[in-house]
Formats: sequence, structure tokens, C-alpha cells
Amino acid sequence: MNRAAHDELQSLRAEALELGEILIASVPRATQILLDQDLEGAEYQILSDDEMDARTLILEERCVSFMALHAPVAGELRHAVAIMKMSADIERSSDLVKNLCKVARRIHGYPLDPTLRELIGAMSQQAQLLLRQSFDAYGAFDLPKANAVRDMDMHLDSLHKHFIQSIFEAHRNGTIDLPVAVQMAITARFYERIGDHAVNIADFIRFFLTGELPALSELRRGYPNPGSLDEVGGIRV
Amino acid sequence: MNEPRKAFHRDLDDVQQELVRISAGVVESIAKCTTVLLEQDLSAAEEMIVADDEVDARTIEIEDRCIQILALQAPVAGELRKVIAALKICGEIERSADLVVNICKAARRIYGHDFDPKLRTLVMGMSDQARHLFSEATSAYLTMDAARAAAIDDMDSFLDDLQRQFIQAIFESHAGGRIDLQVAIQLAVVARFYERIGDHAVNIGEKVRFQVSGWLPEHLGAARHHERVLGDPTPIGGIPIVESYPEKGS
Repeated sequence: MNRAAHDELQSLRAEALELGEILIASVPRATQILLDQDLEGAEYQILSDDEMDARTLILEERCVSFMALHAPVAGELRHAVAIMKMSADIERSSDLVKNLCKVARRIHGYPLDPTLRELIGAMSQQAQLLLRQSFDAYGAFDLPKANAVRDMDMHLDSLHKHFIQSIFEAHRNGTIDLPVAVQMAITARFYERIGDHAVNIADFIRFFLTGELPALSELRRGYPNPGSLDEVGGIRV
Repeated sequence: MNEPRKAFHRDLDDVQQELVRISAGVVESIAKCTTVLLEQDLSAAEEMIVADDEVDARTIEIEDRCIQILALQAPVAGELRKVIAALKICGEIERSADLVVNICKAARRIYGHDFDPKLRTLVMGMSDQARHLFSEATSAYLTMDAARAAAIDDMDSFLDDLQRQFIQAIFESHAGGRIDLQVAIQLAVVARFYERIGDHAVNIGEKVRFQVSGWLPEHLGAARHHERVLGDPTPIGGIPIVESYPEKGS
């Protein structure tokens, strides 16, 4: 690859890493907004998602132009594809962060009980840790680090499960009513989905480093045994 | 056209055809998973959950082929857009199939609990609309019909409305003591799954428009951001536009 192509790829990478940093920082901020029911913060965070939309879109466009102009091959092609894919995950994760702030607005005026608050903090921390790990892996081209993300996601899944149980308990104790309970269930899902996006990002880093697309077995994200009842995506009861 | 070019075009067409087939499968599965939910059909749920592995495998294979095409053929212009669109649509289809599975899983979790006719009607309504959106997206991709693709976004607002009505109805049912909390929450999350399927259909429509004309989504937010950065001196806190955000996930 010529010098210009090399520089452009480096610049794409730098932008992806920078967007990653912004995303990582936004997770604890949104959580604080949610816990404090900080309406002003919510407004600010929701608006700043627009910038993420714009920047991820531009990053994707630049990846496509890069492929068109320089026809990269092998590792460089994979790198460009990985950045393009990653930017979609960054964009979607940022939407989820925005959704957390919308929850803060919707439940405004309803206090949350301490157990729920604590678990929200824990889910937020784990989601942030997953993103941190993925982008660190990308920053350092660190394959073992990327490989660990999927396993770290299990912990987030179990926090999610625990949280749903706590919502039911809070409801039994009469400390939460249904609209808030539903918002909380969806909140838990937002964190869990952020974790899934971190896993996707780690997968693309692995793809870029090794050329392996996420193996089929690993694609069965969250459900090692398709027949089992407490797994993936939805809400476990 | 020389022989390798022909093979290349065949490759591109194959990728598109295969994606349309997988996508058509998802369209069917949307109706099926709703039946699973409404009829509480456990064996069908199991079948669908297992069948999702095949979708995963097939989309991965397409992704792989797209990357091969990029590497070996270094396509440009319209052909490059075709590969990129396929690569992106792949992800949307795969994720939609996951959401269908999630609905089947929700059906298993609320197995044995009945819910009232109003809720059932609304579930049917959301399912029909999600299916319609996905079917439109699939046809638009098959026929490369940008106008059709552009309409999907507007159809999606109808699905969003249904979702809001449904959430309201869940609250009423719960308040009336007809469903308990666990069922209420599962159903609320199911509503979100349908809504997300609709969002993925919208995304597929955007990729079709991209393939046809190079059009890129003027992501609302992106457009707003440009406006703010480029011209509008209004301080961030003072922009009322937030009020018009679609209420997702409520």
C-alpha cells in the first residue's frame, strides 16, 4: 500500500479509537444521570448522540471510499472492514446510552430502591469494562484481550438476570409499580445489549487480526445450549 | 464481458439471491413466532430456536463471501456499493432472526399464563406490521426498488404507535389484575422485539437506497448535528427538537 493509503487507514483507526473513548465515557455518565434523575444531564447526553451519529456515519463512508480508492487486500482490507463494522456497533451502543437517558426522564419522580440502584451501578460498570477491554484490545492489537471479552460478557448476563429478579422482589415489596418496573427491565436490556456490542467489536478485532470470522459456535451468543431456558437476549424470569 | 467478469457478476448476484432467501425466511418466521406466542406452542418454539443456528451459519457464509469478493475483485462504484450493502444487510437479517428467537423464548417464559383478547389483538397487529415491513424490505432488495425502500421508514412509525398502545394496554391489564408482573414485563419486552425488527427492516431499506444511488441515510441526528455545528448558534440546551424523538423502548 502506498503512503497515502497507509495514512488514511491510520486516520480511520484513530477516529474509531476516539469514538470508542467517547462511548466508554458516556456509559457511566448516563448511569449517573439515570440514578440522579438528572434531567439537564439527560438532555445534554441525548443531544450529544447526534454527534456520534454524524461521526460514525462519516467514518463508515470513509471506510467505503478507502476500499474504493485503494483496493486494499489481506490485513488492510480486513482492517477497513472491521472499522466499518465497528462503527455501526459504536453508533448503536451510543443509541442505547441515549435510551438510558430517556429512561431517566420517563421515571422522573419515582425513587428506585437501593438494591436496584446498586445493581444498575454494577451492570453499568461491567458494560463499561467490556467496552474498555474491546477498545484496549484494538488499540494494542491484543488478541488475547479481545478473546476475553466474550467470557466477560457472561458476568453482565448474570447481573442482568439478578436484576430482573430484584425488580420482581421490589414489586412484591410494593416499592416499585409496573411502569417503572417495565422501564427497569428495559434498562437492564440496554446494558446487556451494550455488552453484546462490545463482544461484536471484539469479534471484528479478532477477524482483523486473524482473518477468522466469528466461529459459528461463538455466534450462538449467550446460548450455549439452544434448548435451555435461561439465556439470551430477552429477559429471564 | 470477459469470463472472470461474468463470474464476478454471478457471484454478486448469488450473494444477493441468497440474502433474499434468508430474509424471506425471516419474514415467515415473524408470523410463526407470533403463533408460538399466542398458541403457546412449545415444540414450534424449540424448532424455531434451533433453526436460528442455520440463519447464523448462512449469514456468516455470506459475510465471508463478501469479504472474499472485496479482496479478490476490488470492486468500485456500483459494484462496491452492492458488496457493502450485502455485508450490512447480512447483519440486519441475522439480528432480526435473533429477535424472532427472543420472542419464542419469551413465549416459553410465560408458558401457562393467559393474556386477554385486547393484548392478543395488539400482538397480532404488531406482528403483522413487523412482517409487512420486513417483507417490503426484502422485496425492495430483490427488485432494487429505491422508492419502495424509502417508504419503509414511514410504515415503521405505525409499528411504533402500536407498540405504545400495547404498553398502555399492558398497564391496564395489570391494573385490572388480569396479568401478573412477570407476564407484563415479558410482554413489554416482546413489544420491543417487534419494534426492533421494524427498525432492522428500515435499515435494510436504507442499504437498498445506498446500493441503488449511493444515498446515505441523512441520519436525523447527523443532520441535526451538522445544522448545529455549521450554522445554528442556538446553545445545545435550548433546542426543542428532542421532543420529536421517537419514543423507543417505552
